[in-house]
Amino acid sequence: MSQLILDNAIGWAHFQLRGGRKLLIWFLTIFAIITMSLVLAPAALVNAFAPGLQGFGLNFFLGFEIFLCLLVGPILTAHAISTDVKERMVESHRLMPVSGSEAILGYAFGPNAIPLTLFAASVLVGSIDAALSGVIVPRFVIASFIIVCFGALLTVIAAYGAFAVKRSGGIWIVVAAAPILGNATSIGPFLPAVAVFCTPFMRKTVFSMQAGADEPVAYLVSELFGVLAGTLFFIGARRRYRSTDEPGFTPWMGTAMVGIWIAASAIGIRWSNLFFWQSVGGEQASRNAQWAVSASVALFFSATPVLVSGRLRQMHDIRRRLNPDFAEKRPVSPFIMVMCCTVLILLLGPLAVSDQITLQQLLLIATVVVASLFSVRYWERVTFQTRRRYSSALYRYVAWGGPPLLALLLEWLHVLPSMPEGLLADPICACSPPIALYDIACAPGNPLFLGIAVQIGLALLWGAIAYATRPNRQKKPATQPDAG
Amino acid sequence: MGEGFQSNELIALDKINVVFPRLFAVRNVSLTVRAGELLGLVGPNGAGKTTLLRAAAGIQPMLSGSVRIMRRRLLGNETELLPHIGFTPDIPPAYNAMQVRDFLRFIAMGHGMSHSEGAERIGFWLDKVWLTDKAGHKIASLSRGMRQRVGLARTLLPNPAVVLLDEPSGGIDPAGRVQFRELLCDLRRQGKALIVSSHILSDMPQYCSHIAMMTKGQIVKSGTVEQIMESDALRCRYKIVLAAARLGLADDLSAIDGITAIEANHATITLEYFNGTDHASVLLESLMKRGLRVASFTSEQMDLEAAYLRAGINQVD
Repeated sequence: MSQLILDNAIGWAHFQLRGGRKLLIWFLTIFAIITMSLVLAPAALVNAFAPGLQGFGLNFFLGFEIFLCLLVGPILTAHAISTDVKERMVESHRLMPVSGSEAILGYAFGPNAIPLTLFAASVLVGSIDAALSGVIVPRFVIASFIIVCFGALLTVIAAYGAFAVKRSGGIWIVVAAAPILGNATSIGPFLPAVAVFCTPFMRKTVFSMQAGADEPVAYLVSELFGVLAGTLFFIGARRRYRSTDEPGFTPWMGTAMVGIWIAASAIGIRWSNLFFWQSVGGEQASRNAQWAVSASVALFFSATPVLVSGRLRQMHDIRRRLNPDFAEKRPVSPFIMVMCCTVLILLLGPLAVSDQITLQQLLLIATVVVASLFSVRYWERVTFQTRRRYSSALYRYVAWGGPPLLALLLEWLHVLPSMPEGLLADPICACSPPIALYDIACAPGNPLFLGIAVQIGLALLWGAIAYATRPNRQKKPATQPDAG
Repeated sequence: MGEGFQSNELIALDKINVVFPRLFAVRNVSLTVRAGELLGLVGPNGAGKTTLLRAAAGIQPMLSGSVRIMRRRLLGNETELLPHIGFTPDIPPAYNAMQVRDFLRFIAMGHGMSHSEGAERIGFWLDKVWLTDKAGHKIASLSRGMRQRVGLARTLLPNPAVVLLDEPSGGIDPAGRVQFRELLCDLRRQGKALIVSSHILSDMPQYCSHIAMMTKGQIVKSGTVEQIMESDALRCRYKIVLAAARLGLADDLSAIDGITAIEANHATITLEYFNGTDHASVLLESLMKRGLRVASFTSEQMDLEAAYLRAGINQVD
């Protein structure tokens, strides 16, 4: 492992590009001056004259560590990868016998050598401060450890984003993560999985932990899920580094991601007292609402394995038509992915709210999920076969957000107020899969028939168009346009 | 070079197909390059040369086909064969903020060389590409030709058996091009297999053993340099200088059987006619019969450029 990090060529190059040893020494010197003059010396004075305020300097160190690990680190990694991708340095790297894991570690440690050294210095000086202040040193070290683990997760996600999304995708992921982290306390009650992942940064944070106020069980669960998700993103980034042609997430990796989300949601809903603190303020969302919202997000994630398996199959079929000797195994069917994801989403109910769920609800949820996933799958297949490049994500936004927007528009145009409340708006809204899921979980009295029928109709429509536009086996493959 | 897998083959491409959205960039290309051979890849812009070289280097996703390096299939996730492949794109990527020596040190590290071995090889290749004086300069401060040389040093540093160069002499000055040709001949003598794409056809016979002409993603003509040039050996180009210019000369000459491609510029005429001394004397006699006072009469063998032009390849694909 040390070989992978210390003798890492990509890491070394990015360390040099970020200023190398000279800049590192400068930063350490500045850090030493600041901590000595602004933190340690005042802390010693406070300890001497006001022992009740002991350890106030520790918050400075923890805040500094959060800044380094959660903001600077992921951004530097994402920037390094985006620049290398843009300037085609990644292709040069691919010609070196450097494994995908080694490359990702290089990108994680090389550009972050200075922030990580400063982090280590902060832990060291903070520990001294903790010892001087009478705070239990291991608590401070564990709080720092939790921060760096969470930083590693964000860095890996940013690395994946930088490889997968053009135009500084990784940096945008960090920018998007910041408000989620900052508002985890507000988002958590609606999306318990977010509460599970972000526990260290919710109301009772690592800041209170170092002061001995929290039980670390929630943090351990959070770290476990962080490690699981981080591993998937690491493998995805590794795959994207080696080949731009391969999807970062294989169908099974995508399904595993859905499984992780479902597990985190189930734990967050069932053991909410562990993750939603008393001091949150405001009302907690009901468990059914949490279930519906979590299932909707899981449905959104489920499109990845379904679409990837579909695309891999299409490419496999083209290759086999071009070369009859092509002997690679056929990728897993999107149908199997739809079934797996549906089962996982259905599991959330019994795992999280088993005492409230009915068989009818489960059947309706299964119908909505299957119809929605097949609809996206066939949409993507139609666009592939007709050589059009409409984004399946855009289709999802329209199919999900369109019906409620239409209902709002009708209301705005004063079409609806003349009718009894909800007579038209509720069935229209139910055409959107997440709203249908919400209605099934929280408002069983709402009229769902039309909405679910529309969703099934859409899936059948796209399926029929996909069948009608399927490539003729005797002709050239779909992606085979004329040269020139 | 030829199809099929031979005993000393270093690189073999088998039925390579590369597709971009709405473009079949490389179509069913197969070729083999053996030790000591240098294949010159020529073709118009957009013919698919760069894509083919990238596919050969393993960095271009392919729709189908396989690349074998030293008889082993190159797979996307395998790093074992990579030290045997060197590829320089037309604009070699480099960390501009780094010094030349540091950049090459990074490459040496990436290939697992020890510090001393890396330093030794860096010194050797900097000398070979005439950049020893620039070792301490930042890459950003170098001219295009010098950056091309850095790219070349980067490619050759790990001593690969297969060298793929895309437009390597672009931006290199005339003296540098002579040295570059010598370097390529030297690499051939070392038993490496090289594929070089270039638009400078006049240089190619001096360092290539084989030529492949490419257009619209396909190889339309290939063989040894001699084979390619001899395919047009029945015809020959003649340069005639008259003692005095004459009006309507081109029309007059076009009446002679077998004459094509007439270009008349005042008293100088170039044209194509049958090859051989007998044909040359017949041509000269025909000119004299038409009352033309010939001051000079020379024949030129068809070169690679002429062979390329005769292959009927469009200027841009």
